[in-house]
Amino acid sequence: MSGLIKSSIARKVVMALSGLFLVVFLTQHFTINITSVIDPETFNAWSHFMGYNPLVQFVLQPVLIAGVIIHFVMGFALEIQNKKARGGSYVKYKGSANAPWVSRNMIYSGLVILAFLALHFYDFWVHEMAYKYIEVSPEDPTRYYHETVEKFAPFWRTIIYIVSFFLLGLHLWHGFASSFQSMGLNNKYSPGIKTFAKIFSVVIPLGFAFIALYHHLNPVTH
Amino acid sequence: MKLYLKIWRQKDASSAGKIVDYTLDGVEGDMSFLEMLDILNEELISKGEEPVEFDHDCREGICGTCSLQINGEPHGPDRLVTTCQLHMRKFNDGDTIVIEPFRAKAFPVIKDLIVDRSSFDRIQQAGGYISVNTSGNTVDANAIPINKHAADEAMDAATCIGCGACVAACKNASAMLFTSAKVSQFALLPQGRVEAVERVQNMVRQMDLEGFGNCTNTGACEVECPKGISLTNIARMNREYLSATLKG
Repeated sequence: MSGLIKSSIARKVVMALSGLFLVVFLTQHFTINITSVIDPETFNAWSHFMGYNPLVQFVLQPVLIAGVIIHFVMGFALEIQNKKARGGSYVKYKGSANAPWVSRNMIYSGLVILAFLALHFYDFWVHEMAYKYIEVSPEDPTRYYHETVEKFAPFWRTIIYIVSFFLLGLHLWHGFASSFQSMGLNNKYSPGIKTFAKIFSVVIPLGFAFIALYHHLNPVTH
Repeated sequence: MKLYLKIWRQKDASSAGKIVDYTLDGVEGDMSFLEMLDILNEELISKGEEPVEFDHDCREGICGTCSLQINGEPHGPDRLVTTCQLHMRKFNDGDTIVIEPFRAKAFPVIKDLIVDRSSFDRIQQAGGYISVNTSGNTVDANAIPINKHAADEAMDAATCIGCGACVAACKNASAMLFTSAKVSQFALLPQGRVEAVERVQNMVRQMDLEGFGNCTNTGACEVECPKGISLTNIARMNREYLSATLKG
């Protein structure tokens, strides 16, 4: 088993599986978030369900956090190993001649996303944990819409979110389609899967950016 | 044409290397890249200087011996050719050309532009073969029916000449394209299925032991490969490895 964990192929499969898991999570997250633009009541209802359902809170949430940690810890470990594998550095290395920028700089788009996650956790998750478990405030199924929209009042936060979504899009552009190759899937269905992955990596981050901008431009009036 | 060459010179494996500048005049477009280096070496020898050491053998693009990182790309800017088949007409008068050895921890420099690629041999020895009974009762290979598509794909994989351009091009110095071609050429054929489980496990283990990096699917290897070995081979190796792991 230890041999398997050290294996280069097993590691790339771990990256692919944790990445695909996070893609599924992104889809679910986006589906709920977009309701905040369409119908605040639906957004409140879904947010309340996610916040108080024991299965979501005590099973899915820890699994999600584990997925994020596995993905970035493995990403760093592989990056260090890959840097070492080069040995001496080239005087001239023309990476742009044979591979797209996004595929060569996953570590940087990943680092931006990680930094964004820290801000995002601080903005929503820490607040939510404090509300529920430290302050032990009463359940209020109507608070989520206002809390979310108010977060996007500052221009700087909206901009940071939009820039992060752009980097997320770049990360997905290479990562999503690439995860299928890592798991050994490269056949007649691959061009279709690749097209779907590319569309996803544009539409979802663009949608998230739209939601942030929409709430910035349409503040809640009390 | 007149060229300004920046060539990596290194006395031996334990010495530090450096880029040395040379100016070479009278280069013709019909010369191959290696012939251009031959002319430089003749000039160096006539001046009593040490010639630039580089690997070469068949000079027909089939042996996999020549290497060189030329202006940041293995085998230079042309596609689907080895350095020996790269012609000087791809360059212009007055060009500066940076010539370095392939760089990877698993390809240590021996001298100047020559690197030790025996790590590839060890990967091949770890499982890149089939066991054939040579007792005199050898069965004719053509007696076994093989699907035309599978035979073609196996042949495509087998065109890998093991030059190491994939490793040199990869930002991670990964040897997955080479290893996957060697796994695929057997995995696709019935004769290769017998030892398929051990083969992929042993070859991947050896590849990792040699200190090559991990594949991040940038596709640089496929673009730079002089034989056009496809990334589908890496997907096949991943599949073979996963299925071998599940079978134990």
